[in-house]
Amino acid sequence: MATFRRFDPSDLDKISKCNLDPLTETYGLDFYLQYYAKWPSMFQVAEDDRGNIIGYIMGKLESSPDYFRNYEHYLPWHAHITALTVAPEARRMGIGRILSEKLEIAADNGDAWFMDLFVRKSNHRAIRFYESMGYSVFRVVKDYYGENIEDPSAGGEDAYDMRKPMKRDVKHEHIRENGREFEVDPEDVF
Amino acid sequence: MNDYQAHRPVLRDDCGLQIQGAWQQGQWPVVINHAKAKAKATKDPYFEALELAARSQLDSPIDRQAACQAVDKIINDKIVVKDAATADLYEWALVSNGMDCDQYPKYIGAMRVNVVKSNPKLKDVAKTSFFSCIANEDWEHAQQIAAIMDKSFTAERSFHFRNVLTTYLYANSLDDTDVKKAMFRTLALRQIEKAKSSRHQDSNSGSLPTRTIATQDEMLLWLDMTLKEKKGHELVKCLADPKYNALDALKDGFETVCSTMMNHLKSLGAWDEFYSICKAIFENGVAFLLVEEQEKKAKQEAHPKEKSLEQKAAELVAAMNRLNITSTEDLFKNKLAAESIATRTVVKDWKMWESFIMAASKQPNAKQALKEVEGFFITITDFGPRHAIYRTQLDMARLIILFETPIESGSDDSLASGARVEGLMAYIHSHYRDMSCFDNLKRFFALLSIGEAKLLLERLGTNGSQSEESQFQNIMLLTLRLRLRYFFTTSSKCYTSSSIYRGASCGICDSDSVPERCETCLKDISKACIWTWKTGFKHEALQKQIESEGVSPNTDLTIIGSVCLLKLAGVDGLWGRNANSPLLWADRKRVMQALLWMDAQHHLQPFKRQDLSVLLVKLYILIGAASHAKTLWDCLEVKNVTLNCLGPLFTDRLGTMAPGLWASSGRNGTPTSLYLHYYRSAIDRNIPNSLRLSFDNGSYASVLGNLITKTKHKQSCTLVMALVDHCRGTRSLNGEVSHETWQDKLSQHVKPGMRLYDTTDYGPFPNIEANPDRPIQDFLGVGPGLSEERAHLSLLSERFLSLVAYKETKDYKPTNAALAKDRDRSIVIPACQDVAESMNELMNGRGIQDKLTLPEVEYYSLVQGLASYIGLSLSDPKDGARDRVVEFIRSQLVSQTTRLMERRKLAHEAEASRNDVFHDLAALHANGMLRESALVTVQVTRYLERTRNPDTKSPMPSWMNIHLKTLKTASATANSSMKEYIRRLNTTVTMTGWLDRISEWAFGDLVNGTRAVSDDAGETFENSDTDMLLYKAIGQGPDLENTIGQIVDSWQDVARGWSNVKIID
Repeated sequence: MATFRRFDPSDLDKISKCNLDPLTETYGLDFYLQYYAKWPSMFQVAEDDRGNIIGYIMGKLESSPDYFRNYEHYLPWHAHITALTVAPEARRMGIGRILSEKLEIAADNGDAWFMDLFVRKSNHRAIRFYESMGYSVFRVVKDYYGENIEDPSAGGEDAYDMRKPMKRDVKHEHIRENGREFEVDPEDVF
Repeated sequence: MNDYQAHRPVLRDDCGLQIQGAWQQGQWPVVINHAKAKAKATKDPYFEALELAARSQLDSPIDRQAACQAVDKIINDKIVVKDAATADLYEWALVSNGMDCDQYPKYIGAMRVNVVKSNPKLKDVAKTSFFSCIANEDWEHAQQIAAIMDKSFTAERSFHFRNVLTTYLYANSLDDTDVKKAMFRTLALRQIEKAKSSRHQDSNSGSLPTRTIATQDEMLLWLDMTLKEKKGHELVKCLADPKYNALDALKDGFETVCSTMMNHLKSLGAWDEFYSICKAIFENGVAFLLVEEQEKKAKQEAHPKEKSLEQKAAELVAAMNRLNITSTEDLFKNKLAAESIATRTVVKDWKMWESFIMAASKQPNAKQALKEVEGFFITITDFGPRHAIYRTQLDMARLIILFETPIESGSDDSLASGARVEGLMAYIHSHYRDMSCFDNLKRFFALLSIGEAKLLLERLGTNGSQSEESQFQNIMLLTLRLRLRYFFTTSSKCYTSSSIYRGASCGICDSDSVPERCETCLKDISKACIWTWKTGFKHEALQKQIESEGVSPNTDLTIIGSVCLLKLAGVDGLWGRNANSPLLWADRKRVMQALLWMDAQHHLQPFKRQDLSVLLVKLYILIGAASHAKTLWDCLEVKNVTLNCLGPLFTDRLGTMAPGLWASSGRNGTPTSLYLHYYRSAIDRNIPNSLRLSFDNGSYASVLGNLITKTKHKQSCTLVMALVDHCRGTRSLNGEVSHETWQDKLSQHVKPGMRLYDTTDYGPFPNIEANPDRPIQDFLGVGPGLSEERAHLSLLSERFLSLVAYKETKDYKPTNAALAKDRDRSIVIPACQDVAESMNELMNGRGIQDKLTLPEVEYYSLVQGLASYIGLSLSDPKDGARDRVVEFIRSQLVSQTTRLMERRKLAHEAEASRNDVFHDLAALHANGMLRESALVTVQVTRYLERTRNPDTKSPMPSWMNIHLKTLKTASATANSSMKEYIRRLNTTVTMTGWLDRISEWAFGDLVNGTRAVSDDAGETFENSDTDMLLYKAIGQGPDLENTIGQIVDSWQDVARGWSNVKIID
């Protein structure tokens, strides 16, 4: 069973169920603590009955720096999903969805225009998951990932920059239907 | 260059380009010359500080200490430093030269306060000074700065709460005996209470004044302070206060505050208060859901298929009345929207559900209350989102209610039992696909009687049964049944007293048995597991379904079956008590079967299951194949933050078993380098940075969490393990006792006698045992897990070794050698007495034998004896106790040596015709500890010889000569035994024929042809046996050869590593 709450640093001693999974990256302490310090309501965990962390989501609220305001790729105030992981044994239960919904609530509380995230173009399962939650591709970031999982000989792999409008974006001004046709370079992405 | 040196302060603009350039490039003499000239010309103390900061980076001790002396003078002469940049330079000069946190307040903290006092309106200066103080845990001066900031910027709400929190933290940092503690605590509490109460006073004005609690983090700060301040009834009263309780927190949209308050009510056992508040929360939650549902439907009216909620009209009106709204659209107005979201979140939370059931079960009319609670859950599940977890949650809640509902007097117990089993079966049929099905139900299995357990097993089917209708369901249920049977086999409840001398009868199979390890059941389960594993997964459709469902019943079967084999082999994990490696007495055949089976499954699975990987790592370490264990471990990518909790699963005691791994000069250095890097960064950089960010962002709960994290890192048993194993590992190869590690700032964090915490995460291990005191990791370890006691013993031993092995450099020529020796003794004697006393206390502590291996008990006893001996022999030459102590030391060393020799003798006797490498491998850890014992004994004899040098005027007394000779003889014998052990180990593992030998160990007569291998055709579960099934499944083919090859290569690596160990005579 799972209970959902804010992250606490002691959770890092109980994240093995998630982080021993090869698809989940383990970062330095500074990475986790940065989110905990700056956006505590956007770092949520799912905990099982034995105190193990079986899922977590890390997000942030930000915009491009002010001096980018006139730049075509300027990002207004928005929320971003940095990491979402669910332990293999807890998958297919809707935990990822609940964690994402919690982040969306925090994004709305933070008055974000939209929520965005990057996902490998080859990660069809994740793309389907986000699409089912109302996200759509906003643009394609060429060679965003250094390694190409499907083709190791390729220079890199493209990312989809996916977005979902938040309550503030009543007119849906920050999403587009044909996002797969818009290509940008990694340096265009804040 | 340490981390601090690398981060130089930014110089003031008026320094000029030459100084700036030289500063950046570390051209210190250039900086010194220019700074001197500037100081002379401008009389600005900044340039004097700059010169001293540059000098602090030179080699000469006089230069390095110059800044410290200058700061001393500033303090003594009461000079006020007003310039923040000057303070930056002094701080950098002192901290980069190893100034301890303890000295910071006196040297820098006070200076920082003066800077802020001189510039009260400069926000950046105040912030820099404040963060410098908190990074160095100088709460006294941080509080003074925070108070100045609060006073200077009254309109800044963040400065007010920063002041409150810092005052509170300063109070906490003071000793209980300090009168200021109560004063500052009271001040902080009054400030925060005022900030909270003014919230109510102004609640109708629309906006809150600056110094009032407005955010969830500010409320969490109030809550944290309140929870620490109030106790018992007073705390319950506060948490259930009608003016502000969890329900009101939800009105503010403060979900975390609400959950924290409810958790505390629960932990205080305030069930009535909990029940009444929780009920109100759920009533609100249902109302919100109902109104929200109606609003959604109203928006979708265009859809002809949608029905209105006419039948619910009355409930809707009641809900709107309850929420005090006139239109469903009101729900989306700001404050109510926040309340609605927070309430709907809380009423879906599993922990809240569990506690609500518990509270209901404590009500006078528990049956009625539980029924009502269930009603809430059903409504919430019906209205809420349709995530699978909420359906599981409801089913779990129903089971808890079923098990919690009191049986009415006079009713039939068997009916209640039947209902419990039926309830479990209903859950299983709905959730057998979930990987967590067994884990979720374990709590209920533990409550079943033997009769219920048997009934449940019966309902789940029989061994090996297969139905063509739903192969997937069958395999899942069968696997669950085998896990369940194993669970009952390990439960003491399943054994009843028997008149038979062996004492117990198994309630599942009725055979006479040893409690918690019925051999008949273990054999049955392992056979059923291998049968199902071998025969149950042949159909392609089934394989596809297993893959698509994301489950791995074959891994579960392997784990259960292999663990049964290990238990049958006698690997029980009673290290602490029987004091030997389980490998020494274990049935080699069963151990190898278990290992080869797990390895085969590990190769088969495309996505490695962490529980199987971790079990294999432990098992490979146990059989001495440490380098192969490392290969598997490296695939798990335990690094960075997971080192603290998972690292010990691999690294603990590794230095004593496979010192060769410390010879590695790979990307990551030795097995302990990563740990030391991690802790240095975490304690000195990451956590202070995060503290700064938390304060800056008004995340007060995160400030508190960061401080706890810092303490936990400093007091982590894993940190101690890394420091100690780093020393042991490196000195085993270079032969030198390291002093560097103990002079390092990192080791200074670990103070003698401080509380240390074991943070090892055993979560990756399978959770299949019924007895929580005998988890699976206990019987696969080389010894007991990390503990505070072992950590302290190891630290004391290392510090003792560092003390006696310390030698002045060759350049050191004291003018008065006798005086220098006296001074040395005046330090060493009390230090040794302290070590001896502390170790004595620890070694006589409760349950210490269960926290150490026997070789560790012997080693620490020996060190304690040596520390006592130094004290006795140097301080009071007439004390007769020294004879007894030296005899004790000798006997410890002899006992350790004899035990090592006996193991070998035993091996020869047991396997006269065959070199049994298992017995030698079982002694790896014992050999490692014996090496430590011999080494420390040699170092002590050398120290005493140096101290009582016969060339000085005070020749060594004859009694000491005799003692030293005794100790030298004992250590020399130990050393020669170890050399013989290492030689033999190398000879054994480099012999040829290992493939056949290990295959024969595992599969016996099936390998050498004595027994014919049966044909698969006509084989049934009944006419087959485990050996045959295993042999046919995994005993042949290239995979097996590879595995055996890896084991033997690994043994050879370990033996080679031991050959490179320096044994000091």
